[in-house]
Amino acid sequence: MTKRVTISLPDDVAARLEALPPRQVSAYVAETIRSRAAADDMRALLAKAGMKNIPPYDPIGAAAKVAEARASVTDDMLERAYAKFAEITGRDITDVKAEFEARRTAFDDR
Amino acid sequence: MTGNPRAVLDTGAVMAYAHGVDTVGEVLVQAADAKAEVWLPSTCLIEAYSHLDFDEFDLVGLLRANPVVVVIPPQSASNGDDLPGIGGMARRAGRLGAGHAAFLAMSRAAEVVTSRPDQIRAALLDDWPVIEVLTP
Repeated sequence: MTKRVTISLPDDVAARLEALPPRQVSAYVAETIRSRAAADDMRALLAKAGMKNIPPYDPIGAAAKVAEARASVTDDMLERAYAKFAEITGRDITDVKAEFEARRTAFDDR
Repeated sequence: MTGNPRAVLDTGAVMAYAHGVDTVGEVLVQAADAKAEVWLPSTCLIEAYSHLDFDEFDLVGLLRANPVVVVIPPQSASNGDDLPGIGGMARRAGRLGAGHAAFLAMSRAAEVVTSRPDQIRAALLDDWPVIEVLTP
């Protein structure tokens, strides 16, 4: 079910919407609002849990921190972790590497 | 579900969240703001429930209901049997939840939020990135 709404937007924001194909505008707005709602809901949840120092909404800063965190696990670390895993499980390192590469695809399908 | 998660939450991270520890909240809002995910191994969730008071269960339920948090059970299927690997890492870590968290962290090259960096690193590497939280 959908509902038609009329809103006023700053010129620069309106220009972004006008640049989209007409049939994608509603989906774009809905996705944006859902993402913001998830972030707002998370903050409400953390406040309920008693957290006092919850950072303000900052998608650009957060994206940078997430990218930094992802980069903190280097290829060298993964190679060494695979080798240790092979030792722990008594398996061949080549098989372990192949399996974890396959797992990346499998996780995306879950 | 696409891309690597922002982090994997170990048992102590769930308990720290339930007790209002800001460090866990910072990771969760980063993931939410960046449209990323945080992975929660189901075994860590069970361990956390086993340590928390009943009146804290609702808070954990709300965390599980947020779309940023994805509970990941061990898989045993033709496209990958997690169980031997998790078991092997748990033996090295000394705890089942730590083994599962370490396994998922290695699977997706992710940091681990934990109250026991020593256990996570025993299963992974001495220099594996972790965010340590203190559980009250």
